[in-house]
Amino acid sequence: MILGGILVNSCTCCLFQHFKFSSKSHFSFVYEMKILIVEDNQDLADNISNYLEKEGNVCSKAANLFEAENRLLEFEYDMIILDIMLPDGQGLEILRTLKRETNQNAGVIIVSAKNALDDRLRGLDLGADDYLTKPFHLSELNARIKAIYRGRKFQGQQLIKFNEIEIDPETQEVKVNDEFLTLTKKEYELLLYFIANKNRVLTKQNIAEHLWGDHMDMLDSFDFVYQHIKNLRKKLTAAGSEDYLSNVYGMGYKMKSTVS
Amino acid sequence: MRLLTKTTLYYLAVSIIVFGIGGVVTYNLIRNEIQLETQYQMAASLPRLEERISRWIDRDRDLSNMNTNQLWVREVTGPATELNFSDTVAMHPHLDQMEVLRKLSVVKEINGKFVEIEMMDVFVEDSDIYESVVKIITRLFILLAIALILAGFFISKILLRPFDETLNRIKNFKVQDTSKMDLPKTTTKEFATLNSFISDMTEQAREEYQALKKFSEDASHEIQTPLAIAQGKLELLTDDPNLSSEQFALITSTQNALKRLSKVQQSLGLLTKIENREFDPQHQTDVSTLIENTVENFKELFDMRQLEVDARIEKGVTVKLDKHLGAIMLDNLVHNAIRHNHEGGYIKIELDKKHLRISNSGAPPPGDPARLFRRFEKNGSVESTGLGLAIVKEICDYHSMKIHYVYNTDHQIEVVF
Repeated sequence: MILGGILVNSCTCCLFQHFKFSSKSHFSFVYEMKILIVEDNQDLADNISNYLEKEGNVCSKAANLFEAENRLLEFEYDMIILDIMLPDGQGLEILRTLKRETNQNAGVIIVSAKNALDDRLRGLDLGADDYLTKPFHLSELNARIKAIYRGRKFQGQQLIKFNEIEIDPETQEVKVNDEFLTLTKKEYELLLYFIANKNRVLTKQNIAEHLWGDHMDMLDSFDFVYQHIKNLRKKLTAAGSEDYLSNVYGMGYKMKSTVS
Repeated sequence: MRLLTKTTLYYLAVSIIVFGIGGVVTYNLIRNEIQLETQYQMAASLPRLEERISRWIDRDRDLSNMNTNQLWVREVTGPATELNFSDTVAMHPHLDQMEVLRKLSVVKEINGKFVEIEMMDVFVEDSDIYESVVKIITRLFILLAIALILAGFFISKILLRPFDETLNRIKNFKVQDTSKMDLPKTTTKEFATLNSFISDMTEQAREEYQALKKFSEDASHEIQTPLAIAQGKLELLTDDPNLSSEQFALITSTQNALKRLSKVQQSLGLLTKIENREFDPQHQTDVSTLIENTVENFKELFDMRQLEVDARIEKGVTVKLDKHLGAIMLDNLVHNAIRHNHEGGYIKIELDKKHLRISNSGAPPPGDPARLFRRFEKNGSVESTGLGLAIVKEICDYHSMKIHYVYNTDHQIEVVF
């Protein structure tokens, strides 16, 4: 327990370093989360940790209920990615432990192959923050984790800053160089999604799914995605922002944190 | 009619027959007994009468003075006879009406003379016997009926209670129940047998349901997890800055194929779940609100395809429909109306208490319209899973709703609640 306490202290001090100066001396909003990935499938856990660690997060993995509980007792996490079908029991058990004892401040996102509605509701009832059905895009998971973290850590009060772009997630207001910018709901979501997954290529498919969920397959062309991105880009540059969005390989888009 | 009412009625019917026959038997028995008693009395009074007659003969008095309306004595020539009893109709001595009386006739030799004696007597009239028997039987019957009804009441309260309880449990039984059906303990052998049978049956149904449910969940898990892995690996691959445009195109199309596979599996999983009845079809769902929400959700897609939407939705239409399935059904129907439409076309949505009608412009469907609701039936669209309308049909069947498709200048799908 003493060891645990020390570890908790030592990692909480770094937790509050949310801002990092980038080389161009802009404010860049980087989260450094300690994330526990509770997933019995090694490959999938690797995928997730691989993706999230590139974002500067620290990930640890637990392959079963027992391991997960041990880790939760010893360390403090900011985020728990929880598969609810575990070999030694239901992942929902962890949620119960979590709510009672340790890690009460951790955000929880359930990842499950079960689209079972009652599981979803039960999970959210027990205090999970979100629910993602397999298979999912890692960029989607990433965006959601960030949203949860923002909400939990700062009660949505914290502004998201991306160079000269500033977003208030509570009011959904966007400012460029301190000037308000009017975006449609979809454009706003798109911008947030890009910022959450900056410097990564997002496919049209990926973006469409984020914006329209399961209905995206009927968008017989991804022209709509293109249209939205074109509009967003136009609005941002017109407001004086650098043109961070770029088309990659003709099939995807990327938001670069710096324009070379 | 309740079992108890039925048995009581049967008992009463049988009682009527038994009491009827019993009444006749009782009447005859009592009548015979009274007759015998009357005869015995008359025979017993004979010796004294003989003495009297003998005194009268000694004093040489006229025997006809002895006659009354119950007694008739006269001298005859003989010979002496045995006692002879018969029925005769005569004036009742007290009642002033004709009655069947018992008559004793005999010729006796008294003091050397032959005297014929006829005596008539009545203790109880037949009609009295009849009335009494009817009275007794009716009262007994009423008593019995009351007793039967009361007994029935108590039997149902005590004896049939475990049975009623069992019926109640069966009525409330759902295969979805998570715990074993708890049947009341009973000492009645038949009920105990019934209970153990029902208990076994429901347990089996429950287990089969759970097994099937688990199977479809496991299947989903076992398929979606590798898909998620593949999806993730491909996504990690796209992070590689040295990727060529061709490679990226390959990755994207692989991702699309994976996505489609996952969707097909999810749709099949949903169909299995509906077949396994894992939903609540008794739920009262406000379809009006549900449609309004669906239309709202699709608004952007309507705009993108420049579809004109005409929604005539009656307020407050509630239908027995699982909420989740209802949303899926409407989603799929609207989805379908958008997919098989052309740019600048229209969609009409009409809802009233009996129907939901969704019509849309679009080219006529090739082939038999009935095929539309079959699984994996696609109209050349690669993107579609070919399961959307099959799911709608399955949901309608599950809720005993009818669904028709008509093509008549436009596509029209009608759901009848």
